[in-house]
Amino acid sequence: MAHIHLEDGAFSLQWVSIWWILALILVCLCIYWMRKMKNNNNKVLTIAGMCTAASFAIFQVNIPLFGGVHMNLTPLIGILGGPVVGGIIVFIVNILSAAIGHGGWGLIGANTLVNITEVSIAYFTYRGLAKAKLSSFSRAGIATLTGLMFGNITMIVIILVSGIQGVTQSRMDILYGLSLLAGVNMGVAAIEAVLTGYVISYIQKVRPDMLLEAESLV
Amino acid sequence: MYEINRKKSMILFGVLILAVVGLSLVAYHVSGHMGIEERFNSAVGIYAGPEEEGSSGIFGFNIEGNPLYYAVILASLIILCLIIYIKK
Repeated sequence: MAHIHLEDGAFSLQWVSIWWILALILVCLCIYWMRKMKNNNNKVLTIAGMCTAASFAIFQVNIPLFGGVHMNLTPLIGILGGPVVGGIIVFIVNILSAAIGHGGWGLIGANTLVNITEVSIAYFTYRGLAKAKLSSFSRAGIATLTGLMFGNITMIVIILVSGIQGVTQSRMDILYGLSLLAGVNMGVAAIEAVLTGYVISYIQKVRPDMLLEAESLV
Repeated sequence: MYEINRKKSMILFGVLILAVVGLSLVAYHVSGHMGIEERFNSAVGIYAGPEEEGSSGIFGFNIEGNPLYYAVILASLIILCLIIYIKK
């Protein structure tokens, strides 16, 4: 859900390259890990395909809340696919989004890093809460809120580190502006948390094996 | 196997949601009503011209980017998923 919604040219070429290289390294590690595990059966592939389609479909929809916001289901991807498959999914979704004109090509690397943070934190929070005697709905909801909060923090850090070309604001002003933006984003995170909670608790009832697939890949 | 405490789960989740929504409403009131791109540009200090008036969509929901490309890519992904699912 956190997404650097700036146009190409906002970051300098140096920072565009750095975020792209870091994202490619992480995606390559995900692919290497999947191949190493030799567990990429058709079930995982089907889950990955469906998550990619669902995330792409919902990410492009501008929701008329707080003036316009997006959801991208990254925590759901993390819980269902795990951070390894999830990392590859968010990279593909970011490329497809840029291909239709939503987000700049230069920001794919930075946005992939933001989304990988969301996927990973949501996955580990969901697993970590397993022994807390919480329902799967609450676990998934809390994991979503945590994942998206860390996604927003990563987004702020990336923008502050990179700096924006051609602006005169100080980093403190940018931090203040981005904190407000992250606050608004978290309102949508609450909706996404309820949605993810319902989806996970439904899957838990009808196809609990789907939730076990992610465990085998980490 | 442990027993799930549903009441505790719902209270914990409900309190978190209320806190997040409360903070979000405060952030919204401070920053004001604006579109996503406008909000981002304003946050980082980019002074862009007025946003182009896009289509109002259905009940305010609209598609970012090119709707034709969106439809084509989404259809391709769905077909791909069906092929993988059937082959399974």
